[in-house]
Amino acid sequence: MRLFRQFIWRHLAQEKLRSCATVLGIALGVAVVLAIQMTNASSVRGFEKAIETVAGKTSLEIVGAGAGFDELLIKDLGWLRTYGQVSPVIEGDAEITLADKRSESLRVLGVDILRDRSLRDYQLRANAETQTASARQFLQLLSDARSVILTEKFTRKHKLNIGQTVELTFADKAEPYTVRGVLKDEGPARTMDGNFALLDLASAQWAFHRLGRIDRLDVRLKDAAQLAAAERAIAERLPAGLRVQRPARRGSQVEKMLAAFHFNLTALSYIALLVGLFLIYNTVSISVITRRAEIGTLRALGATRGTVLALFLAEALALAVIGCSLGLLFGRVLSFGAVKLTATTVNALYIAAAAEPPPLAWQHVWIAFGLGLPLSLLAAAVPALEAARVAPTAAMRGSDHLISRFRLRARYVVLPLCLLAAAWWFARQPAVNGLPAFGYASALAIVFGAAFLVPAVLFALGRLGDKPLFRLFKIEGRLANANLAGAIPRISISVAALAVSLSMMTAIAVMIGSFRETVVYWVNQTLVADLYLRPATRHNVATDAVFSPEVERIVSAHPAVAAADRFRNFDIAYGGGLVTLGTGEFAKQEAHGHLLFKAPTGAEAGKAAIRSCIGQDAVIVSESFALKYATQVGDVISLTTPQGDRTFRIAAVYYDYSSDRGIIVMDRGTFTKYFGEPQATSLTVYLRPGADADAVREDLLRQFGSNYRVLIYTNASIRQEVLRIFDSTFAITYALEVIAIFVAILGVATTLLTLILERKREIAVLRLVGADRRQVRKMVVIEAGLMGAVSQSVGAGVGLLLSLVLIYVINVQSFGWTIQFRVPWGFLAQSSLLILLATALSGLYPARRASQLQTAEEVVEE
Amino acid sequence: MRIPQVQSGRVWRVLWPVALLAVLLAGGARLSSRAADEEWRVAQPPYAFEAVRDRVSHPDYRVEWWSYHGRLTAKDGRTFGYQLKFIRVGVNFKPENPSRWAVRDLYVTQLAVTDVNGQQFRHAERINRAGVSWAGAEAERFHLWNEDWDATENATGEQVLRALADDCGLELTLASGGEPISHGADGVVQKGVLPVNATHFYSQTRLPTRGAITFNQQQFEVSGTSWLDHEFGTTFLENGQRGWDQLALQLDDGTDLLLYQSRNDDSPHGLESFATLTADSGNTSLAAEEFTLTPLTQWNSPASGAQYPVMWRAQSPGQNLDLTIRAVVAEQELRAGETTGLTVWSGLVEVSGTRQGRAVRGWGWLEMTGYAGGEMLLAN
Repeated sequence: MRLFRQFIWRHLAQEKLRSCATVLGIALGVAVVLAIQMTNASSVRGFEKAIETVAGKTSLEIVGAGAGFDELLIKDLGWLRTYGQVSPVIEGDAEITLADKRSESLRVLGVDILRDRSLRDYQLRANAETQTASARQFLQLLSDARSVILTEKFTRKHKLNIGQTVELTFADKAEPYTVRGVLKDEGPARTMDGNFALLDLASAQWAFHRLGRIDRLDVRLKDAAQLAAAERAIAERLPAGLRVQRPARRGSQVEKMLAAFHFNLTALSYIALLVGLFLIYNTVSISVITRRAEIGTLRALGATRGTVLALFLAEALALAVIGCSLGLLFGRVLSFGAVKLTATTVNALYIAAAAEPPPLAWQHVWIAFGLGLPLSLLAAAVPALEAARVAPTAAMRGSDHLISRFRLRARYVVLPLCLLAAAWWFARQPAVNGLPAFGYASALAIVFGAAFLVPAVLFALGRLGDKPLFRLFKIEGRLANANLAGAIPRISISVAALAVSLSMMTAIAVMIGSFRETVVYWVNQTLVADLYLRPATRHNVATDAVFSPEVERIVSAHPAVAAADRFRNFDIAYGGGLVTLGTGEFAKQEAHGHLLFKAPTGAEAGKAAIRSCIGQDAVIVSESFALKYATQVGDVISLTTPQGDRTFRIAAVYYDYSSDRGIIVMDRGTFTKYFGEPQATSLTVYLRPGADADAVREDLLRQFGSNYRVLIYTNASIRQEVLRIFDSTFAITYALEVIAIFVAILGVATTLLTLILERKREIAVLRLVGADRRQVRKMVVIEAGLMGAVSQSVGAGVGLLLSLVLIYVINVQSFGWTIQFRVPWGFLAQSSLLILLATALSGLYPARRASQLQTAEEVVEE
Repeated sequence: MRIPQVQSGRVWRVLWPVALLAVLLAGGARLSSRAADEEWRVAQPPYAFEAVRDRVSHPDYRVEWWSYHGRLTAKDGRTFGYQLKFIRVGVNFKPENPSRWAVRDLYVTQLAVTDVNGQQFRHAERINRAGVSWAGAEAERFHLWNEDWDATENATGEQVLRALADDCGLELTLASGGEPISHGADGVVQKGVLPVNATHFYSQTRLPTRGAITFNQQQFEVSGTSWLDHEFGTTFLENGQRGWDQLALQLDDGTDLLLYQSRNDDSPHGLESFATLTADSGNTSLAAEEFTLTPLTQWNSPASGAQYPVMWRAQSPGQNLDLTIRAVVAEQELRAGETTGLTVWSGLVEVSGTRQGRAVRGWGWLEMTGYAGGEMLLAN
């Protein structure tokens, strides 16, 4: 222990900057991983929690095949009584407009309040003044259709009282409701952090335009222990089109839906950690290299190899412990930002859930230390083992004081090539459980390949860079090049770490750039309608908000409207997960629409395929669906309809980038035959030639008046909206990358600093032979820039390879999109310049230190 | 299991319809601000009952109930009391919401069985809206139901009652008895000071009954006699009225007796109290001042905290009538906090005493409301 204090602790204390940089590197790595874990957990957890709090004591639920099911089916389900309490439920989202005109989202539960009490814990908070009136207020929930019960938390926050009127918007219709009660903060009242409203079943049906339909039946078993048996028995007796499941099932479906998105974020977050580990490897290596003599002395004094190994591992451990602890804190902070960055995506594309990072728990401490410490030790083990192998005599003699010159051995070329070959093999493997595990293995192999290639590249630079650098930067350039060539084993690690970060950056930039161009092309080709309408509360595809018939009527009656394609979609269970089932008017789609078809190819063939669906049991599916479920044109898929299982032929596969869950679309006629007359969730409006879209939009809004809340996008604004969602989706990707690059540049700076301190003699000699401070400074800055240049060139090259894996393997396996490969040259040029500048700047501090070194006197003294 | 009305902690345990019936019984006019929309019919004289027509539902009136109770004996001599009461209460005469779940009426059904020999009492209760025909009362033919509990008429005109709960149940066939006995004057019973506070009320006494009783999962073949009270009107209670005591008695000299006492703030035997005595000679209506009901022994319900008189003395000097009424089991309290929130005592009683100087014995049914605390007050 004393030895550790003297040998390691003192050293770490002396090398403050490097120690700090390493700690910071690990901390940031751990923080990013943790933040992403928390963020991912928060989105699914938010949704699951909402299910849980709403479910209450519900043990089983009975759901339909479509959007809810016909309430008359309940008539024949009286036998369910023998299993327990049964309560029909309507659930959805509404918006409440507050006094200051802002609006907030509310999760709405509509139940038969007479019989639902045994399923959920409701407690009504009695208002001091209105206490005695409560019973009557309650009764008015039944007699007045525009009654609502809000939560204690919500009413307190917005200063609302019982008897007060609030404006609620369901789907597209805003109406005044009277607050009839306040739920105490427990049970379902905790849903969405208090943004929860309770309505009577009848009111909810009416408000959501769901007359005649029930979303599900919640069942509380008499004997909860008999869950599995009851589930089986009920499943056997249920008529076709209805099925029984546990409430948690919806959570796991959503989890599955988000799995790919989360998996990719997680994988990305590990890059930052990886770079952090490079740093710790780097630090320990440097401390081994700079103290060979001391190690030799220790060994000569009787320290065993084990002791030496333990000493250096302890150094790594000390750094890692501090790093992980800091990472834990940073992670918590970062997670708030990450949740914000991902919330738009999750809400727009998947589910509506109030996301908030979970509080720091023991499990997070476990992740931070369980991940950070072993990996840090592993990273430190290589240089520590090398330290243990130091021969005492040689080290003391100083015969290997100078780093042995780098010799290009075959392994520096063969190993990277092997890794690249492995990457090639991995890239050709199929997905595992719908997750691109091999895709990431391939990416990892490429990354390590790049890292191991760095020494060879540096060697080549040393050989070939002499003349051009001399021409560019005079003698300082030549010196810098020679210095780097002489220190290859040491700088390789830092350069490799930076190269790895940069390759990921490049790869992601290429992928996103390609993806964006593909989406822009798709948007321009397929979004050809003049106006797009949706109910105000329909924030994402999962929100089941349908138009009032009045709105549909106003739109189709407008003289400038040539055609209004009424589109309806909702989620259905398919293949263990969720897919979107949609229905539109294929005749209008064929006449006015411009879908891009993957198969059959060609616009005419596509239109013919659409035509062929009309009046047939045929559907068109999105590319994601086709890839996920390995189906193609001509295949037959089986869907559960309210009338039982039915088969549908796939007539076409079309490109769609709006959602990565599969989409199945059928003609309105076919849909009506099996699922009943659909209500529209969106309207696609084609105007007559010459009509002004903006004017029509204004006119429609005027006709809707203040009662109907409808969002109308013109063609230009819907395109903008699509790209806005697209860009926000990748905001987090860039944020993660920037952190990784920051950490890597930190590594470059510390490495340089070490090199400088170690080259005191050389620099002193340089000063002795006439080099002035400015020249020394310039030399060091050039060295830094050169390291950046090598990193960026390796990074960019490997990044392009990686982007191929991202686009053709990982993306296809996790999302199922076709992305046209495009190289964003402009971005590459920009980022290269930026990296050169940043690394050169990072050389400024070491350069100053170098120029401040004393001159000959110091050398003489030594 | 105490059912508190307003807990001390200012948190009111939500029993949705707590006092719901009470509020409804108290009169819908004050309940809804849209009084103009209310079109409930008011019981007005004269009204002539028709046995067939009036057995069905009268949806134009706001409140209506069919209360079956009786005394049945199994082959092994065990005696049971039973009650099956279907209540329909109007909430909204014409709901604007077109949903099937919109509440026009609420249907409450109470089932109770008393095991006299075992001194035990079991009861269950259901409350439902019509919804998808979950509950209802038909106006065209005799059919009352609340989920799988129902009262119907079979091919031979007998009434068939079916209700099975967890620990009690019944399946009974009631043959027709004598002519229905109408209460009050001109077919109307005045239930309060306000003219609108009146009902049409008739009873069918001595319906020969056979069938099965289920008690604690055990089934008994039984036979005996039942009594039906069918009452409908628009409001039942008004300010100042706390509750009522009602006795339906069958004496072994062939006399049937219905005694109703309204307990008001200012009098334990309000002016609205009335009685109907049916003997061979015909029906005799007694006004409030022509009879007295005196509570004798009190019983404290450990569960609700309410105090009920479980022994009564009924006297009518004009009729030369002096009866002592004693509950066969003290605990016949229907605590329905879980569903309607209305707690009442309703159970089998035995009778002994004298009529016209002759010793008589018999049995009957006692219903006492408004003892269980404040819920009736909420009506005010």
